[in-house]
Amino acid sequence: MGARLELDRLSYRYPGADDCAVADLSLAVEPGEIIALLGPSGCGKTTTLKLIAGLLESEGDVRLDGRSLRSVPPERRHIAMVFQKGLLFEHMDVEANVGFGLRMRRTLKSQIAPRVHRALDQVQMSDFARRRPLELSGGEQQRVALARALVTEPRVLLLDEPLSALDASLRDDMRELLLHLQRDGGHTTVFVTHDQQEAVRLGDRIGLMFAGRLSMYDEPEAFFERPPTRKIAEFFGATNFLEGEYADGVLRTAIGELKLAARVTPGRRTVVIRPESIRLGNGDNAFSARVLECRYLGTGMQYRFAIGSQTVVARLPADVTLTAGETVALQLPPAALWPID
Amino acid sequence: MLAPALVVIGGLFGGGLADALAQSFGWFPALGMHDLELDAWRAVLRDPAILHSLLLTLYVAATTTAISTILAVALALALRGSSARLPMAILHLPITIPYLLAAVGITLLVSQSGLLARVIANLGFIDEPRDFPPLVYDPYAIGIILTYVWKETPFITLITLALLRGAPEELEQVARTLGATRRQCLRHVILPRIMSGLLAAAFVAFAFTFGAFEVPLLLGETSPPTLPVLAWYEYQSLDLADRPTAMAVALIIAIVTGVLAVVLLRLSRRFFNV
Repeated sequence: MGARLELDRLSYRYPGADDCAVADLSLAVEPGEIIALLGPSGCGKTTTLKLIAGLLESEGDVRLDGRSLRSVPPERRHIAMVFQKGLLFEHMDVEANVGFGLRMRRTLKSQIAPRVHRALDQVQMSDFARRRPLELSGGEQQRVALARALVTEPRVLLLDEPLSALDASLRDDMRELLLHLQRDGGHTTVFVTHDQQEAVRLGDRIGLMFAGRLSMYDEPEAFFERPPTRKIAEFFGATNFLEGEYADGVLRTAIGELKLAARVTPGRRTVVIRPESIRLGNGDNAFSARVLECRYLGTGMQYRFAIGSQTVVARLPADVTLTAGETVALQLPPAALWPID
Repeated sequence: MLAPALVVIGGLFGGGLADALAQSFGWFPALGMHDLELDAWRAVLRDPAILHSLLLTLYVAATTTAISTILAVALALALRGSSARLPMAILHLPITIPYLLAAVGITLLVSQSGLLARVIANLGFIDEPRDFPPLVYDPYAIGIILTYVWKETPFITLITLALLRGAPEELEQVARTLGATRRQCLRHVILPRIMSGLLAAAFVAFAFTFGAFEVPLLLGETSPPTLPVLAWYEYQSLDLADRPTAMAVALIIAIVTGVLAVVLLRLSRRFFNV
């Protein structure tokens, strides 16, 4: 079973850099939980993993089950990291690669072989034990790298963009394998990704990072349904923002009065609504809208509408067929309007 | 595309080697020697002095290469994360100095009348400079080895640095998270990764030391001389009949170097998958 991981005001600045790569980052991961660190390139996600692993010396503290790892070197933290490229040792075959950690920790020889075979079996690579890394595909290398980390029975597993180097079909297989192994072994896992879909599919919780800072740490639904800021809402695909004056239970905007289900303090306010939350039809917050543009998305249609001077984007089912110039009734359900800072 | 280069290489080295081989078998038309014979080879292979010279040459080349390689790896490991220019400039300096000047410099520094002997005598550690142990013209060829180590360490260091910087840093990081200490990383991850390149660099240094004559000629004992010095003596002999012997000795140097190259290549393929 994995350990409880706590990051306490973790900060790191690369030598010669003006800004912190990671600044004042605090979060906790419960035993057996898998969390995603999500954010754009260069926001400090991989650096955070390296700080957790002890590969970089940071300010702040990393704690495992309440015990500080401040003076514990990487090799004694029992935190294994799988990098984006697999990084297998080319001078060793697959079996030697997987057994590497056990040999370094001086595990009894009689125990190494069965554990290595079990790990290879878990990642469905038993038939490749005698192959050299250069004889493996990217996906195979990544699975061996995963087995190499898991065989050491780490208290925390760190995965740095484990799927990004793989093509689409392999990525699905690998994602399922990862989830299966993680649930099976109960490893506390932190993985890094820049792909919000991947974060949502794999993560019990998501930590969203911008410029080295943790902007939000919550369950995936919260990022879609309750984003606290415009930047976070935009990162998760929300495109419709309406600004107005809130008083007497309604928000007076350029397109008219909007009823809100959420509690809002009076004053100048902005609300966000996701494209997939907008519906055709009448009811509360219904407006006459003109179709500006249609786009086929494969699983549905995306429309751009004009409501007065305001443009909104909506995603509707594929069987809804509207044409540019057509006027329809468009509803912005009160429960789907979320106030942001 | 490669033909012109192959012609030049074949002409220069292959032609030279063939000519040396012919001369070693006594075929030297310019001197009116037209009969192929084994006299020179027989004499060389039966002469115990040649064996002494071969052993001395092997000792000098192997010791120099071993010391230079160990120092180079240590230096490269220390310098690989640094972007400071001064250490790199200092490292490049010995490479630009000719071997002849290096030998003179070492003599001035470590001979019994050299700088080091005087300083140590002045400090009172020895009574007189001549009490300083002989490090040039000595039976252990220390002066020769020092000169070669000074020249070859930077060469191997620069190659090792390039090899180290070519390996992703994250390879060591992944090893550390799997439980390897820094020392284990060096032994099980870094050295195996750079070993084939390092062996090639060490071999170049060995081959050069094994075949060069200037430094042993200047700083070595006259008896036994190293093989290249012996070949040089025979080649310079006023008696042109000694020429086949000179060529036979030179060919022994080429054969030993060639055999070592093949062994090294096979070892690299066998152990380092190169």
